[in-house]
Amino acid sequence: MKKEMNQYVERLWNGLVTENPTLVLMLGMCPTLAVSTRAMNGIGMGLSSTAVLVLSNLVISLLRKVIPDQVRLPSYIVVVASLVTVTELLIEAYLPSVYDALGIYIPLIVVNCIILGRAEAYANKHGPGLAVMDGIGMGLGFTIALTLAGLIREILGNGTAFGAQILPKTMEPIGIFVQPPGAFLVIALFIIIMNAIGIKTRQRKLVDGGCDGCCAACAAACDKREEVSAQ
Amino acid sequence: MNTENVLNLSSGPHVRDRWSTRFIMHVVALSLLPASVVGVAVYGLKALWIILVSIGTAVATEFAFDKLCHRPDTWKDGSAIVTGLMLALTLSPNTPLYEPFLGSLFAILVVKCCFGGLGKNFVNPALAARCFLLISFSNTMTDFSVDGVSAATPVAELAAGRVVNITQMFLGTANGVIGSSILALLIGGLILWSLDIIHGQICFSVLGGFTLFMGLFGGQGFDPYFLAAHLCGGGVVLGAFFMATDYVTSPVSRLGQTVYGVMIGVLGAMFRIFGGAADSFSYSIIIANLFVPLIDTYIISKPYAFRKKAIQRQNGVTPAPLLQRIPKPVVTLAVIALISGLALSGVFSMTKDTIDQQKLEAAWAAYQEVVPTAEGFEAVPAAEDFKGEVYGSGFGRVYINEVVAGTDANGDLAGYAIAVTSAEGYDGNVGLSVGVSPDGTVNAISFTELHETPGKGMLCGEPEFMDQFHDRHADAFKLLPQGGGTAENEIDSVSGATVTSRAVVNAVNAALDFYHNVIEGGAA
Amino acid sequence: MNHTFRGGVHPNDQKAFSREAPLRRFDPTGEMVFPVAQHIGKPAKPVVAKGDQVLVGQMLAQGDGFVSANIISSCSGKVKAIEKRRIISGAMAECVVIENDGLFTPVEGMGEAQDVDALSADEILAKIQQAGIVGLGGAGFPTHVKLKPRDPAAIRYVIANGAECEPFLTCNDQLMRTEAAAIVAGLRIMLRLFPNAKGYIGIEDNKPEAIGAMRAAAGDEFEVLALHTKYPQGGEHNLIQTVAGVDYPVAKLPADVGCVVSNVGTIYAIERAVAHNEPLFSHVLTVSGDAVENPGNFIVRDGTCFRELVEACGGVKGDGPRKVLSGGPMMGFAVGTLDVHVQKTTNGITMLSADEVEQAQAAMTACLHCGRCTTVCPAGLLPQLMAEAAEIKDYERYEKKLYGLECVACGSCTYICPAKRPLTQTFKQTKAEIMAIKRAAQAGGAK
Repeated sequence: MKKEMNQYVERLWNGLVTENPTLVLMLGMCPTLAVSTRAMNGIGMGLSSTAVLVLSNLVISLLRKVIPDQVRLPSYIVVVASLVTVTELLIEAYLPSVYDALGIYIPLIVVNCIILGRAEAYANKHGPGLAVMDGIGMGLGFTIALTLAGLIREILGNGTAFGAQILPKTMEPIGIFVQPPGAFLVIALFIIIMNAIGIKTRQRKLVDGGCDGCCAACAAACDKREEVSAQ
Repeated sequence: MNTENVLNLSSGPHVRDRWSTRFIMHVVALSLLPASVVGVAVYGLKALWIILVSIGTAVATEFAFDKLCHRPDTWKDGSAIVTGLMLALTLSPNTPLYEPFLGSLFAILVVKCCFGGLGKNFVNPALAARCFLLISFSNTMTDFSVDGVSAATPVAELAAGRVVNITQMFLGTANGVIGSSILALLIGGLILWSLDIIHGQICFSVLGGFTLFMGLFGGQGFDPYFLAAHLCGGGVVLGAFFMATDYVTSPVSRLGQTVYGVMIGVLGAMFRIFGGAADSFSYSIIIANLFVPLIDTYIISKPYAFRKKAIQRQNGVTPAPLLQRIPKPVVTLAVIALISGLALSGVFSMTKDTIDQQKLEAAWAAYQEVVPTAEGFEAVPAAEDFKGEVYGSGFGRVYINEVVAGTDANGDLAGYAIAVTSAEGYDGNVGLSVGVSPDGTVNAISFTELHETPGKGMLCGEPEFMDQFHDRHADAFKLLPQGGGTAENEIDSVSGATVTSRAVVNAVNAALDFYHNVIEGGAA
Repeated sequence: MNHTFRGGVHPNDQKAFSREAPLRRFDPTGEMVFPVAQHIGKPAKPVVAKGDQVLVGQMLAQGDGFVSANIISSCSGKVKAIEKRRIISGAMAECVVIENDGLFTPVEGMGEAQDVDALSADEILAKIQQAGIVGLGGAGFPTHVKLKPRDPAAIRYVIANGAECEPFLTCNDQLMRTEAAAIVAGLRIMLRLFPNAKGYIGIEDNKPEAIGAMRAAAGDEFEVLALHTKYPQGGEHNLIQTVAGVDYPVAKLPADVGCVVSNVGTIYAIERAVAHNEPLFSHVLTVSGDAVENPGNFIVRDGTCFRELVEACGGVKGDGPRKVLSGGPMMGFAVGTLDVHVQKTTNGITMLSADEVEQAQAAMTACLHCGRCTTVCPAGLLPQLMAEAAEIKDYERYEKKLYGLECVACGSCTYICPAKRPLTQTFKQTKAEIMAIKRAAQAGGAK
């Protein structure tokens, strides 16, 4: 069922499903594996990342005609790092309870590949409106993936969900799921399910239809990249 | 007559040996039978159930995968049976049945089928499943109690420096995993070796490497009793003859196989001597499995016509000098690793004393916080007995780390500082020092380890919560999750952080219990 | 244990079918078909034309170039045609077809005794070339070229190959039992060409009568070695490994390591040609298998139709064969019909009622990595890794790292493989692909 989607809505759908950063683009694996031990952690990290992602996409999109191509990566990093620090300081000053709640997550966001990845792949080529929607979509996709993974891992590995005891206390939880191997297993399981039920992710489109040079899913290692950039 | 009809055309050779995949798998399964029979005889029906569940799950999983993924039927070839049986033999007879079920499922579905099925698993499936179970269910997997009475395995006894009965281990009557009868395992293993189903290079290099390393670094030299005891325990024989020799995850060339076997033996011995976990061999074999593709890439034996240097020259090939033949990346990596290792150990030894001193001072600072009037601290010997074990019952998983008695400037007893850790924090351990004054009042608590959820559990480190323990007299504290505590022994939980709060309260109660029973009770 | 080489397999030798059947001459009645290329090297050029009358022992086609061999008629009659006919390999090839008149009239002078001692080395080689002798062990390399290496003085071993390691075949066994003296005489002739060499006769130990007969004939002159029965003992590389203790790669010849190896049938033919003026037009052959009534050993004339031979053995047994092989089951070729004709290098017709390749294909599983193939490879290769490389077409690794082109396709690895993988087939195909790439590269570079 192909229906014409409003450009902005398409960005949302793209970030949530077609190019979900965790399950399709496989960006931001470090925080995913480390933080998704509990569902609440997933929500916390996801939402903070979304906030930073939206702001960063906006700023880079506004500056896209100004930043020279040769120094674009260092520039993006400076922008992102500054944004994060500014965000952290503002929250610490004016929203102390939120700061206490999110504490350690904020500095971690700088190194989240999704931020830099989207800046490079989308924000520097499109207008601010679309860039913001892309940020929201990607951020929500990240949040949902993280929360779901966190939920599964929490239930299987700790017997609780969002902190509430679900499995009977007498049942020994399967400890491996709160460790990194469990994270890999759960993410792999999600991808298997997505493929099995035929969700049209970017990967499926590439497998079925061949490369279209968007360079979003294959990162920088592909030979085609130069051909495509030359076009 | 058929000559007028079609004659088959195919390329030679046109005859085949009788042995098939299924035959080999069945022979391997049969060679494990003696060990299984002894295991069931010694441990009873529960061992039989574990074996049956494990095998049944393995075969059913492969069958289901073949059907669901529209693959050719491979479940009949007997390899699933072998995997299931091997996994069962590595489990304790007390394991609840859902564990061999999950383990077998993991072994076949994830390690074998998802990677391509027969011949494509990247590590030994039975051992990978065992590691999966060890990490997931550390309590039940290490439960080797006999008839309900908790007991340590012979290897754990050895590590504690005690004497073990080798004959029992050899026959399989000592407590341990289901497949622990060395005699039965050797019978099966030697049959496989004589039929040339397993390669002698692997199993004997494993045993040799293990013995050598154990003799050199085990602390008791090459004492035959000591070495024999270590060889008979902890799955060395099972690993050497059945796990390490798994076809898919072992190298192709003879030299490669020997290197691989020695690596397993050395790593296994290393983990056993210097490592903390009870299980050393599973990890050493898995790690060596991961090196096999590398071994197969670089250690390739040449055809006979190209081996000896003299023949090489005769055949017009100039043999490269030894240094040139070692591939460059290996050399580079080895040099980098060596230099890094030297640098690290150098810096470590340089800073060790300073760091130790700082830790001591930090500990003393923590003690000082809870026993403010003390000038000096002395360790209380009675605490040594409780070190490393869960303290008491009813406090959850708490451990008494250290107890010191503080003396003030006049030399009088200023109080006790009890360092206690609870493993039941939300995100890990919660460590604190409890200060108890000579009259049994809790002076204060101070955290040495607290990395809970920011905004929730971390709030236990705030004065608002900690002050509740300041100058309180109680034999035991009671946590009120809803707050509103008024009595001296009632502690309000941090809102939304009941788990952490409870861990803290349990830890404090354990400290108090120690104080009342051990110190006051006269054991000090 | 008797002398042996590294690796190898032990298929059931199946010799019981025909080992006691004495050699008998078979004179066919049907037309005789002679391919002009029955040897390694350039095909021979026909020297007769349609309608010509030919006699037994007359040259039908002359060798063309340095590495080539003559084709000799084995019957008398009229040349029916020189045209393409289907040969054993299944291909259509140029053949000289003779209408057999049943008289088998020989040319003049054939069979006359010669004074061998008076012949020089060059004269001996000329007679061998004239006789059209090629390696009758199956390879068909022109013998006069093999016996003229670059440095005859460097040859230390002249080895008579009486191993006959291929299952079912027993014709060499019978030949050695009945013509031991002639074989020894032939060996003696060969040694005239190599002043520094000693003669050896290698026979597998499942042929005690042949060993006895050869020992009696050779006396102290040549050493008769009883070899451990193992396939492929009769392969050149393996025989030289066993007798001379030397390994050499595929790119080199036995002559490069000081050895010359010839099948006992070839040596017998050399004796007939040099001492009796009889060119090569017949040789020994075994018809065997469980799908033929009376397996037997024959002295068969080149060009005889398979069907006639099978009839001479009482015809097919039961439902007939599922598979007919030219040669034995390890290195033989499957033929699609019995209407093909015996060539110089055909030393067996094996009729099998069941096709084990078909059964194996049904029972095939993924590679177990059990390593049995590596244990049995007589060349010391790693078939397991070669198959992996071949499957992903990594020709660089196959050729350079794994020495895949050293494979002589003896079939030991495929025989032993419990997963029933088609290893030899894969290796033959990969070799062909690699050689095609090399040829294309050479042709491209030559422009």
